[in-house]
Amino acid sequence: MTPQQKQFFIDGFKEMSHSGVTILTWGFVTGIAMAKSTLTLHQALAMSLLVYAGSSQLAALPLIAAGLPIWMILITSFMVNLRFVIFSLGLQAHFSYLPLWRRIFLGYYTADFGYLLYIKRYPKSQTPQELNADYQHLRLQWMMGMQLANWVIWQVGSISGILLASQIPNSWGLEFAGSIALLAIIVPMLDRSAARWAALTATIVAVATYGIPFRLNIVLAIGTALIVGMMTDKSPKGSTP
Amino acid sequence: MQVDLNIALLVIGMTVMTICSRSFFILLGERIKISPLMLEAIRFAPLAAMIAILAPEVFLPTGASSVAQFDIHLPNIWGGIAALVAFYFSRKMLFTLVVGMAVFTAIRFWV
Repeated sequence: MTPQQKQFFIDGFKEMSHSGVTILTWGFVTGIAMAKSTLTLHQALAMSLLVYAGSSQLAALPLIAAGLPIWMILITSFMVNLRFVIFSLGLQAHFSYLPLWRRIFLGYYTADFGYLLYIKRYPKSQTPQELNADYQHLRLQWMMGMQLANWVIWQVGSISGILLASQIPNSWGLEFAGSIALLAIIVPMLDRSAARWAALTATIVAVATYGIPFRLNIVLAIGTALIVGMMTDKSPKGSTP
Repeated sequence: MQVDLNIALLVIGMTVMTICSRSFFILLGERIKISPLMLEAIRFAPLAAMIAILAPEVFLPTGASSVAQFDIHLPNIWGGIAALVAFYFSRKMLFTLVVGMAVFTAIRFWV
């Protein structure tokens, strides 16, 4: 690693750490939910370390407890993850130069916050000329720094939750803390009216369609929010969010 | 569901789902070119995604199965609003957590 690459890696790590409390809280709540479900300690740890997708894990737990067949749980898991498919659309041009195995890892480690922060800092992908000039691939270093911070903070929260769950009574309603923590990420994004319209739409649709199978309410909410966001956005084309 | 082996398979399957979804279009590498209009359209996707996950947890009771279970007396709603106000004015994460949880707990136990 060159000194400059190191600098970008560390900057990325710090950038993600600013959301540390939120990630830690979400991880902790997810860990508790896993430990209090039908999973054994080892199963919960394996799920945390391998699956590494909180919302999909939380969606799977009641289905596992209900004894649903694996394929149904996997479909639900993918549906909850469909938002990542949309995110991958946004990242594709940025990292298409990497070899296949590195793209797989890059995708796997890019969760919600990673995408959000990356696309905020680098809304446009590099032209071939810019890419040639940026032979140190500093954007990639920045991204990897963020990914490492996200993974470490998440796993610390999640594993602490798994191990401490038996000490925490259900009556505390701690899972609500995870919801509150997300607010801190969402509110700063509501900086203009189109964003607020999109957010309002997503809220109404996600709640109104909550009962439909495979958690498809998430995809429906995103789809309608994107349409409303486009219609209400008066800013010139190509401006950044 | 039969225990161990099935859970092991499920964990592996869900890991594959994480990889497939997060790498979906990245996997195609240079074989596709995504139109600027499409990139424009997905600008609010991260915002909408997080709200789509959060909103039902705030507006519906835990373990709810449909919107029919909406109830304005739900502590989640008032805790959520309190947290929103707290964050809007303070921009401090821990303070927001404390206020949100305090209102949530107060309504659960005393109302």
